[in-house]
Amino acid sequence: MMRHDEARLWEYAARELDEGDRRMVDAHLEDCPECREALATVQVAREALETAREAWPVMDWSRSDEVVGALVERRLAAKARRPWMFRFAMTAAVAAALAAGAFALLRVEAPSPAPKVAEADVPPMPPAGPTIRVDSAVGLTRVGRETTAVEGGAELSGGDVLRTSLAGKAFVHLPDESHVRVAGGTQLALTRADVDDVALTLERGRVAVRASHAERRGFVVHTGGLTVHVVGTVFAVSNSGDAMEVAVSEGRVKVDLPNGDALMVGAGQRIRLDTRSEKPQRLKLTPGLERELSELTEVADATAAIEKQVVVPAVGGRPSAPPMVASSGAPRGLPRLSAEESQRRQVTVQEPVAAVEAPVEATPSAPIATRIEPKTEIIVAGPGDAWPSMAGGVLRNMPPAPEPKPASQPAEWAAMPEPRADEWAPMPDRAPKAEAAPSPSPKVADEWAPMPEPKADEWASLPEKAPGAAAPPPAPARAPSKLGKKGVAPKDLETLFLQRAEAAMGKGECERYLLGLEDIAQDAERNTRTEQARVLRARCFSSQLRPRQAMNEYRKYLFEYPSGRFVDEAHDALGDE
Amino acid sequence: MPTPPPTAQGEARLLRLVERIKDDDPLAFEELYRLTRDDVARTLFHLVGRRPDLEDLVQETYVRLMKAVPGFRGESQFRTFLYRVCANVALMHLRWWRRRREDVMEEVPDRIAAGEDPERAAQAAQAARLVHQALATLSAKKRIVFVYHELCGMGPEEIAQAVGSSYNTVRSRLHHARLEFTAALRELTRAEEARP
Repeated sequence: MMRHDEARLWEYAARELDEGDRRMVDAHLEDCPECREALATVQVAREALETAREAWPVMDWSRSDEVVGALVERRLAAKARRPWMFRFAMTAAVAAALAAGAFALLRVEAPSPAPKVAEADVPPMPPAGPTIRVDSAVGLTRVGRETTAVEGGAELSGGDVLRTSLAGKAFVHLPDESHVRVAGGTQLALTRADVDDVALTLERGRVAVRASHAERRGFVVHTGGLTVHVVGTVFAVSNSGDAMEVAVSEGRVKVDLPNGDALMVGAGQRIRLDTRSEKPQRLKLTPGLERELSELTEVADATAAIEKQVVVPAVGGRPSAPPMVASSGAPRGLPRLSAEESQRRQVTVQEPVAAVEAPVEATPSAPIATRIEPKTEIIVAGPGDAWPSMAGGVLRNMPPAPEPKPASQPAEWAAMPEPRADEWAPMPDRAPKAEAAPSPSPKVADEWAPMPEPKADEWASLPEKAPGAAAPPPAPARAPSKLGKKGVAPKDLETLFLQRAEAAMGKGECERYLLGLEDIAQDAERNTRTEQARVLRARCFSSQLRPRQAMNEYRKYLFEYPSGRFVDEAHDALGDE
Repeated sequence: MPTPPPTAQGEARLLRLVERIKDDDPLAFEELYRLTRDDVARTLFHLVGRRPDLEDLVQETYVRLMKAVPGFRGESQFRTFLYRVCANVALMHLRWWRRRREDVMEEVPDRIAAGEDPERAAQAAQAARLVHQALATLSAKKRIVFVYHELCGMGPEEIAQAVGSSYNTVRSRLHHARLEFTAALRELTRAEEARP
């Protein structure tokens, strides 16, 4: 180095020089005290940079989360509108082309005595493509700019985001003839749902899928970095936030892991991926999952049978029980029966109801079909519509009837797995309608009784028995005299839920109760429970160091209960703003 | 905590998310945001220094990123692409501040963390303050190149892709930035020592 070059010294200090240059600098430094001093300065600068690298800003992510969340919501909303706009544009274009063609034809042929173009000669408008249809739904909403309740028979579009309440459940029929069972406490985006291409994004909760064997470009389910590729199979995907699981009961799926690896999961297998360690664990399929998947299969079969307009005998009904016949309407429309016809075709239970509730998991290793006890539903009042239950019986009050009656719930909910400890909290269905329902049948008294304590395990800990088989010790709040349709009065369930939420707060585990608390707090009829729910939400956010959300809840509280019991607490939290 | 070195697995995961975003899956963008926001915040922090509106810059970065992702052709690593968006946001911001000729850094309270050792955290905060003061003397373009190389550990080729310049331009900017940074830091150290 003939001259002093500080930048060269930086490269020397950073070991960016090759061996020859390094020796030259070494030699120069021996003779040049000025450069040795400059090198010391460079090294000080590099050390400062090294230390500064360890500093990072403490960010308040709430605003950024909101902005990005709003961006995503807008995209989703725009996407949900797109198919309608596209269809409208296509329809308009076709109509314009036809009109132009017909006009040209008329003008050309006008001088001749040939007959005019008859209306019947004009080709009909192409029908809209296959749609996504909700076969049945309890507690299902479509999330977007406006959250709307979705009922059975409703049609959905690609891009829709669905959310089920904690006690909710839905069966969705995709255009490629695949079926999806959406469990309670789930949020699922129908990212793409075409005849030849399906992509679902599970944000949280659990879905079971029976993919059809139709030829298509792809069928994938995304969740938390996992991508499940499907060929034609029955499987379930869950995302509890802490772990993701993929379970397969038929066929095989390929799972792309977040680290880039891929795994094949075969029938009877389950993989679990902890989101922290990202290490996959191979496990066996649990009986609860098998039951869920078989339920989906039965619904899919029943729906397929209806669409082919075949007669479906009521499984489990007596041989003489009248078969369920689908109407011959539009292929994808709901089979609707008149009230009289429906009354006539009612299936009556001839055996004790307790037999219906027999333990379905008594022989977990036996084939699924033999383990499912036949279920038959009772129709109490003359319905406007009828719909096959998954077991082949008849469920009533499907759309357009607005509210599913409790009489149809047991068969649906009998197979509902118990909530998991790390999932959403076991939110009771507040059903004021249950109070007005007819007197309970012998079996419905047990429907809500086994509301479980959250378990530490995941699916592996699902009950080995059907809910009605054995009830855990009843909670003290449940007074038999107040039993509603489901065995426990809804108000008591809410009280129980609030007690649990409060107890969980002491353990710092209140987050999973937030959704249920909001559900209670939003009740139109304000009372001590709704008031407590609002305050518990605020306290929960506060305990989680989420002051913005906590203050929001306290503001809502003051607005809703200006002279409530916790006004002082709210004012204190808001700093008397 | 230093910026974690990019791993092949992390990059593969980001690329899968990008594919999903391109396939019109907006939820994948939310996941991408969760995965990259710490890195983006730290990079912007070094690029623009302590600013009261760092959160705004992060948001601006993601708003731009959402528009830009469909144009990502996979010719570079996604991390490089993300740094390009950061660089554009930072460049715009630095020029804007320079036009206003205001320095609010002294008014901004320290919001710096560095692990759980409080002594180490204090050292890191002090060093970051000094380094950011020295960086403030550099021009915006030199600062970006210098920060990417010295604080984010990127090579000149990757920086060239991230800032849309040639390799030689990056080398030249880095050369001058090093000289200016050392001189500025020397002055600042002297001033600190001279302070009673």
